[in-house]
Amino acid sequence: MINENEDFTIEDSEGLINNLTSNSAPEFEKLRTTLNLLSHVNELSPISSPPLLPSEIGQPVQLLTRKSSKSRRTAITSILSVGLLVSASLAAAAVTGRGPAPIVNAGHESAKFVKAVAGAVSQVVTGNNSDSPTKISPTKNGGSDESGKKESNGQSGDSEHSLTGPSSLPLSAGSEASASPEGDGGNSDSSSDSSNNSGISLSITVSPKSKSDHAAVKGSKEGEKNHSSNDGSHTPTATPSPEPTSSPGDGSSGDESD
Amino acid sequence: MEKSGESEKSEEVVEKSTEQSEDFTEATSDLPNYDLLVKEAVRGSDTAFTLLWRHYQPRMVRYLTMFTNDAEDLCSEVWIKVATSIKGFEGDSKAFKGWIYTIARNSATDLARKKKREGTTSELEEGDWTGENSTMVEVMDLIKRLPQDYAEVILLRVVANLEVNDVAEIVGKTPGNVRVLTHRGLKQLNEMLTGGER
Repeated sequence: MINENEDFTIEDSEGLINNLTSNSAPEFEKLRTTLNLLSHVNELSPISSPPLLPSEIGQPVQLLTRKSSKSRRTAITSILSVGLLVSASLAAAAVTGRGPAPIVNAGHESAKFVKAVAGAVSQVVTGNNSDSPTKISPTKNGGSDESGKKESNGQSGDSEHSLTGPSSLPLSAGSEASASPEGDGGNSDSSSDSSNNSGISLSITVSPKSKSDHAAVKGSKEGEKNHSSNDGSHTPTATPSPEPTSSPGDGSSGDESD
Repeated sequence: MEKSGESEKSEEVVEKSTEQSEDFTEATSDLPNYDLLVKEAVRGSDTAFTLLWRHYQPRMVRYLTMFTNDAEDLCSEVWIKVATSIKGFEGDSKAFKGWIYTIARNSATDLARKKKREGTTSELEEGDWTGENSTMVEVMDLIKRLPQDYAEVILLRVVANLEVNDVAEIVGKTPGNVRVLTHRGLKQLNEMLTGGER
């Protein structure tokens, strides 16, 4: 035990701290009063509330306004503005058909892509797949890439209406996002298609009994013809845009929960 | 528009917390059951979190006034960190108290480092304690005149009402060290109060 001073021992100090209200040592009355004052805090008014509630976590707008630093806010705002501007320009170019050729082309490609995605989604949702193979209509200018692609072996599996991304995407056989609806040996065909056109292809299954087999093959050839006109002009990718996430503090709090 | 919605939400939470604070009190006393509050706050209850905040905020502000003049701002930052990482917290109210003061201390250290890097002074001016009455200002001025090690352990033990072991964990010293620092601080404070200041 350490005794700093004969008058005021370490036991005295511990006694004071542990018993701020008791009157056992009158010689330290001033000190006790001071410590009592120190321990007394003003209560908060009932209308006050914390700066952030747990339910507000994950609300990007609030995190953006409350937590983010100024530079981070600026960066996010700039990215959002540029994205908005680009999509507005593309939409305008696609609708009006005027403007610089690359932008108009890109606009058309984007419109095609959106239509293809919408078609695929609606087919998956409604379930009208094999009975109506021609339901996904080609785009106005006949640019539908694989609107009538034939299922060579009649194998469809889960990937009857698969939406394929660029050929560089990792593809797994049998998965819903598979790029090879053509069964055995169809992979090379599919990948070459992908590389020839915009990189996005919509595959639908034609049931074997369907009369539209020839039409489908024809449509496929037409599609190939059309590909030659817009070789590699635009490669829209289907990468999901990451949502802004909140970083929980600065790491000072993460590992302190012991 | 958004702000008004936000404030409405806050008011709702506050009203709810006032009404429901009785649900968190122990049957034997009027004191809230802090273990239950912490548990509920970890599960995402805004009401429980608000009650915890209301209890610990004034104490934390007083503790942080030792480090900065903007203790309330710093305290808000601390509570934002607490809110964002409370889901991963495990432990009872005692552990929670230690945890939030550790976050507070780390935040204060970060702020001091930042100020030092920027070249702005982090010196506290005498009597610049926000929201305190004159007697309290005098007491805090006395505390501020103590060496920081002494002042910190005294504030953690007296204001935050933490036990020796918890304080030792927060400041990264042994419990024995904390006792000695507390003793030296109190001795010096006593000398100041009785006019024997060196």
